[in-house]
Parts: sequence; C-alpha cells; structure tokens
Amino acid sequence: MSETDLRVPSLAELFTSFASISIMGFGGVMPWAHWLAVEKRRWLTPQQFSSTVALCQTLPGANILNFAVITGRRFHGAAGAVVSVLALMIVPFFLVIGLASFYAAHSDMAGLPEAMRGVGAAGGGLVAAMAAKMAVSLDRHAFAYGAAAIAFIAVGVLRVPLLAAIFVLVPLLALHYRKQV
Amino acid sequence: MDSTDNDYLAMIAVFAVISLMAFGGVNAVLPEMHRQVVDLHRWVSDDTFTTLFAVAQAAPGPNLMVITLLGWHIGGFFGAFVTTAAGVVPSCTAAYIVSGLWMRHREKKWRNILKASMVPVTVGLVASGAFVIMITVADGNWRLMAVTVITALLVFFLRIHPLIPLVAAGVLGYFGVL
Repeated sequence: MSETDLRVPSLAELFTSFASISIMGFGGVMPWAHWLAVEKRRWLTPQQFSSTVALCQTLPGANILNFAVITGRRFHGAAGAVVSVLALMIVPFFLVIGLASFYAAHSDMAGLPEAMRGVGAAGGGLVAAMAAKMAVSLDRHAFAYGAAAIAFIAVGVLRVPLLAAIFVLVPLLALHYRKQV
Repeated sequence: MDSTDNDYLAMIAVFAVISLMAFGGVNAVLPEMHRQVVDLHRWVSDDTFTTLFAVAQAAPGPNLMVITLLGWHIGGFFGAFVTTAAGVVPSCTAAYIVSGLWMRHREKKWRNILKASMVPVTVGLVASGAFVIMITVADGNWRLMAVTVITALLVFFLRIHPLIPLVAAGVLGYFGVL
C-alpha cells in the first residue's frame, strides 16, 4: 500500500472510529487500532503505523491514548487529538463504572468475588506475557537484559519508587548506548 | 467514603504524576499506583485494589480504566471523572508536545540514545507490574499464582486469545476451584 492510496478521515470519522474500537479490546486496544487505521480505513501505511507505535511506547501514558493523540493530530491538529482521545475514553468510562456497580451490588453472590480474583490473576498473566514479548524484541545484548532485570527487581520486588528507578537507570543506560547508537 | 477537597487535590497530584511516569503503559506503574493509593494515602484497601484491577481487566477498553475505578471507589462519579482526567490529560499533553519535537528531530543522535535507553527499563517495569499483580491478587494462594503463570505461558508461547484465560479463570473461580 503506498501513501497515494491513503484517505484523510474527517473529525466525525475519527470520533466514531476510535469510539468503536475502544470497547473491542480486552487487555489492549492496539491490535484493533492497527486493523482500523491500516486495513479498514486506510489512514496510515503499515510503516507509518509502526513508527507511530514506536513513538507511543517511548512516551509515558497508555500507548493507545498516545496513538490517538498523534493520529488525531496528524489529520486535524489539536482538535483531532482531543476528539480522538475523548472518543476512546467515553464509552469505557461508563462501561467500567457500570460493571463495578454491578459487582458491588452482587458481591455477596456466592462465587462472584472468587471469580473476580481468578480474572485478576489471569490479568496479571496477560501483563507478564506482554513483558515477555517485549523482552524478546530487545537488542540481543546482555546489557539490555541486565537493565530490564534490575528495573524488575528494584520496582517489582524491592518496591523502589518508580521515578527514582527511572532517573537512575535511564541515564546509566544512556552513558552505555552513547557509543553504540 | 467522604472525600474532602484536599483529597481531590492529592488524587489529582498522584494520578497526574503516575500518568507522566507511565513509560511502557499503565501496567508499568501498577506497583507505584499500589504504593500510593494503598500504602501511602490509604484511599483503598489491598483487597479493594485487587478487586478494582480485576473489574477493570474484565471490562473492554484502554488498560488505564483501573484509574477510573479507583476514583469511583473513593469519590463516586465525580471522583472517577477527577482521577480519569488527572490520569489522561497530562500524558496526552506530553504526547502532543513531544510528538512534535520527536518528528522534528527524527535524525538526531540524542533521540536514538534516549530511545535505546528507555526500552530495556520499560520491559523491566512492565514485568514488575505483572509480579505485583500476581502477589497482590494471590495473597499466598498458590492456585491463583498458578493461574497467573499458566496464563502468561499460554499467551506467550501458544498465542491464544487473551479473552480465553480471563474467562476460564473467572469460571474456575466462580465454581470454587481456585
């Protein structure tokens, strides 16, 4: 697909598109964003999508929100960014509160708290699998794996405040990568 | 639970800072969120944190909805709106500003050094998020820990749909197996 095949979405299309994928993803909306922006609507080439996601991952915050900001901005500036983020948040906001209210009203129902603990435990597994997939795509350097392991032990096991870990580890790595990149 | 204006200001501060620290997504800051809302501010108990995380996982949508639920639990709809906005607006503003700079400095060396340095740390942070969830949810129950480990293995090696282990674990829990 070349850039000439691409279409520019209107603000309304940005809104309806992001709103429609917001409720599809369980444990992640990003695969749906790819399906929408690259395959179905043809807003972005696969390469544009990949480089946008890479940028999203280096920014703080939920990747999918950053994707909405950058993609909305690409087509309609600040208005596009705001519309895309709102579209992504509005339905899940009410849905998750509805689900939590339902749960609160029925938590005395036998088996429900145990069921939620099961879901929570599996949710932890999804996060672990994502960490593993990310680890596989790291540079094949003992240094990178060592840094990941130190971050894991510091924050996960020793519960060091996150900001402290980031401000110590990232500059140390930068000193190392200064010569490599 | 009654929340004062001071609580709301503190909540805005906590979630805004967490939002700006969330390199690698919201899962990477779960340990910090737990430390802040359970250990430091005592807004919710350990049990409630676990339950809200599970409900947020069970709902579709971006994986930061646990922030919405924490706000909802502390201060109803208004609380939910406050924490959600505090969790979303700062990081989105940062994304807006940085994406402009990033595109402009595409070829610069410092940009690539920074990127290379942040990625391994991000991986470790996401893994620590998974670890904290497992320890918090299981609370010493080895069957629940096994659910976390088996889910991770199935999704990582067999690439099964993430919804399958979520539903299966919910069903097993409901029937008292876990």
